[in-house]
Amino acid sequence: MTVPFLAELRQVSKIFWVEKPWIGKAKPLYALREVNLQIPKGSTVGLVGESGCGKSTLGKVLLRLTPHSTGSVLFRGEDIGSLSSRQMRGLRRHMQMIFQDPYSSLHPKRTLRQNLQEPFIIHNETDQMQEKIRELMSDVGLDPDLLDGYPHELSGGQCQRICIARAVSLRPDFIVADESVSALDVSIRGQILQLFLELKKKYQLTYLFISHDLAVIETVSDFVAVMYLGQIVEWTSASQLFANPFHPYTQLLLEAIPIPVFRPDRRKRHHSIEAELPDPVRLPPGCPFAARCSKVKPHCLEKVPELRNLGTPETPHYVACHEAS
Amino acid sequence: MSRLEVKGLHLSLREGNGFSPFVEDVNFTVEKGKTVALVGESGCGKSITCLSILQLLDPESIRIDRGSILFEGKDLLTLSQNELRQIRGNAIGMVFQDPLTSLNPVFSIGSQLVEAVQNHHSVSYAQAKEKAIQMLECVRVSRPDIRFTEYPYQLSGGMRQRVMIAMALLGEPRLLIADEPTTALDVTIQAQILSLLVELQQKMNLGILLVTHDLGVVAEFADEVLVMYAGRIVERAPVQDLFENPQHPYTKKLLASVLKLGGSR
Repeated sequence: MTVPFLAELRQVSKIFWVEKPWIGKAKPLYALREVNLQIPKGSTVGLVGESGCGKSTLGKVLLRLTPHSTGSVLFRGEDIGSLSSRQMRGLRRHMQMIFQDPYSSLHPKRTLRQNLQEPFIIHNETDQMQEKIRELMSDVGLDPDLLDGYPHELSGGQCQRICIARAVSLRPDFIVADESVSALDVSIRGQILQLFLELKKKYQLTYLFISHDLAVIETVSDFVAVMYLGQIVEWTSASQLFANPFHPYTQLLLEAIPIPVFRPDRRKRHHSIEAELPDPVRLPPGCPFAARCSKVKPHCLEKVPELRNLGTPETPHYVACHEAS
Repeated sequence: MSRLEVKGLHLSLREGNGFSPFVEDVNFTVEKGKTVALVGESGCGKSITCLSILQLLDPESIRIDRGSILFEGKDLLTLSQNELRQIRGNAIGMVFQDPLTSLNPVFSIGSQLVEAVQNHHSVSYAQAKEKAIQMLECVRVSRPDIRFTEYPYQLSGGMRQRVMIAMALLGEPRLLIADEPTTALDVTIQAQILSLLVELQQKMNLGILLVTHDLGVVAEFADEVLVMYAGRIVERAPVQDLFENPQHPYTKKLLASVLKLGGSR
C-alpha cells in the first residue's frame, strides 16, 4: 500500500475550555477549527501566522503531544488518535520536535553527551552509541570535544545545533520545527536554516516548519499554509504564495515586512492601526478576518468562507476568502 | 544643539577582580525629530551603551571609564542621583525589549502608569489617571479605561509593548531610547508600533535612539545608522548610504546575511 502523505490532518479541531465561571460551564476556544492539512513525504511545509493563531497547537496535535478534540490525525496513513500510549511510544522515534528556546529544551544539569544519549537509551539502541553521538556532532557542525560540557557553555546557535542533533539521532521521518530559528541572531539564523536543509537531504526528512517570519518560511519551504485564528486561510506552493498571494491576510502579512533595502517609497510608511484580533472565545459570525480586511463585503460578515481551489488540480492554490478570485 | 551627544564613551566590564574594556570610543549624536538606529549582533554592546546613557548599569559590574554623554548640552555623567532621577522617564524616556518582564506583574497597568506620572509631577490621582488614559488612547490601546484596571498578563504582547511606549511617553520626553521595541512582536503589530512612533515623533519632535538587529526596520525607519561590532562603532552613515554603499566589511557581511523575501533560494 502506498501512502501519499506522511502526515495528514482531516477535519481536525482542538477545543480548549476557558473562562470557567464559578457556576456554570466553561466556554470553548477553537485553537484549531476543522483543519485539513497534508504533508507529502520528503517535502517541507511552512506554517505561518501571528502569535496565538494556533500554529504551535497544530504542530503538537500532529505529533499527538496534545490530544485533538475531533477529526483524525494520520501518520503514515495510520490514525494515531486511536493508538494506545505504548504503541504511540514506539511511533515517537519517527517523529520529533525542535522548539524555539534551545536552552530550555536541554537538561541544564546534564552534559551534552548525557542529553544526546537520552533518545538512544529510551529506545534501547545503545549499540555503538558513543560513535553515533560523535557522528551526530559532526553532522551538525560541532566539535565532538564539546560533548562533556554543559548547555550553558554554548551559544544559542550551538545549543540549537545540539537540539537538532538530538532530534535526528534516531533517524526520524518527520520533524516539526516550532519557531526553531526565531530566538537566534540574524547572522546565525542563516547557518541554522542551511543545516536544516543539509540534514533533510542526508536523512530524507520531512519537515513542518512553523514560524511567524515569512522570510524564514520562504527560504526553507516547498509548500506554505497560512493560518489565522485556528483556520488555514491559504495553502499552496511556496513560489506561488510569495509571487501571487490571494488572501487579503497573506497580502497584509507580506506588506508589513520591512525590507532591508533603502526605498524612498517605503520610508516611514503609515500602517493603519486596524482592529485588534477578535477575541477567539467570542468570534463574530462570518469570516474571522473580516474585522481587519480591507476588501470586506456584507456577505463576509455572515458566512465563514470555505477553502476553495483557485489554482489547477496539478498546482493547487487553496484560499478561504469569498472575494478572492 | 543636539538632543543627545555621546563623545568618546568607554565602558568596561568586571572580570574577576579587575575591569576589562568592553565598549570603546563610542561617538554619535541624535538630533531632534530624527531617528538614529544602532545595529549589531547580540553581545556587541548595543544595549549596554543605551543603558549607560541613563546610567541604569550596575556600577559593581560595569564601569563608565571616560567620555561624556551630553543631553541638550548637559553632561549626564556629572549629575547627582537626584538630578538624574528628574531626567529618567521625564526628559528621556526608555522602552525596553521585553514588555512582559519590564512591567510589574502584580500591579495593574493603571497603577504603574499613574506612578510614572506622579513621580515627576505633583498631580492628584484623578489627574494622573486622566493623563494615563489619554496616553493609552494615544498609543491605540483599545478600551483604555478597562485596560487601566487590568494586569500585564491579561494583555497581549503587542498591547503590553504599547503600554511600555505609553509609559515612556508619559513624561513628554524629548529623547526616546527604544531597545528592540518590536523584536518580540509579529510583523503586523511591529508595523503598527513603528508607524505609531513615526506619528508621535512628528507630533512631539522626538529624537529616537533605536536599537535593533532588524535591518528591514532600519531601512524603513532610521535616518542615520550606527553599526556596532565588538564594542566599537565600525560604521556610521546616513541610512541611504549605508544600504547602497556600505564601507566596512562587517556591514557588508551583515547586509548579505539578511534573508530577503523574493531572494534566491
